[in-house]
Amino acid sequence: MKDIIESIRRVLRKDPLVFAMVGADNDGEVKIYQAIAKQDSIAPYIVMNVVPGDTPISTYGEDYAIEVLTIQLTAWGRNSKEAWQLADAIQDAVAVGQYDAGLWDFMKGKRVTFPGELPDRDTALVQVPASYEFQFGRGGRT
Amino acid sequence: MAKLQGVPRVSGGGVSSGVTIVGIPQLLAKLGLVQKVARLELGLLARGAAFHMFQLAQQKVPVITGNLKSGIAIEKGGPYAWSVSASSQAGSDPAGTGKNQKEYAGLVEFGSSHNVPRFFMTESYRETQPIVASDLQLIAAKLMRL
Repeated sequence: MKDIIESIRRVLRKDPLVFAMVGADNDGEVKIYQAIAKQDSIAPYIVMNVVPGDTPISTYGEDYAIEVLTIQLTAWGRNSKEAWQLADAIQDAVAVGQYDAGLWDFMKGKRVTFPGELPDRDTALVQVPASYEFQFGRGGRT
Repeated sequence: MAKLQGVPRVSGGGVSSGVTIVGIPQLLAKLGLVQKVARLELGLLARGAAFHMFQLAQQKVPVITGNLKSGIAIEKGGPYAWSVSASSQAGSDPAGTGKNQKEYAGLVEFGSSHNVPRFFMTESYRETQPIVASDLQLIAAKLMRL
């Protein structure tokens, strides 16, 4: 699971358009965070959250497994336009990315929900959350 | 079941054929029954699934004052359509702290700049989905048996 999440994060980090939009924070980390953004981070940035409730959809004995993972990729921007542009860039990056998840092979990555724009309560930021379903397969469980 | 009749027959030295579909009244009666049962079962399924989702959402929503929990509602949109919604502004504000003056349900669900998402609606929906799929199969099997 951790390998898969890291591979998705790497895909986003390496995407030229996403990188051009989010850049790096004061610690030199590309602004793609897990769970919640760093407190002093300046938008635009991306926050990844695993949506609970997924189970492997198929196993063939012990020979093959398909791991399903739904991840909310939230584009945060200083205004609506910036958040939507970043959300579009995320979608493109997910579609064309080269995933390297160790023993797991990337099978599919598609957007499953796109609820819309949500203004933040405590800041002037705008978020566009979208959920993506990823499927990774692996053979010969050892 | 309806069937076709129309094999050529001798008729006064000639031969005649035609097309007669028999059993139409019985077929229409059966289709009417299928329609009635499907309407009833699908309506009950939609309602049951929505109530299940509603109850799950109430169980899963984070509770501090209880305002958002009381703002979860279920609404009929049509014979086979029900919706479950959560709105802090529709809450009863049980603690009397003015919590229902601003809408924050979306921020609880999807997260905010300071809070991780809680996905209480998403989880409720995802847990209800397989139940609906399995019940639909049962209904289909029931209709096939009619």
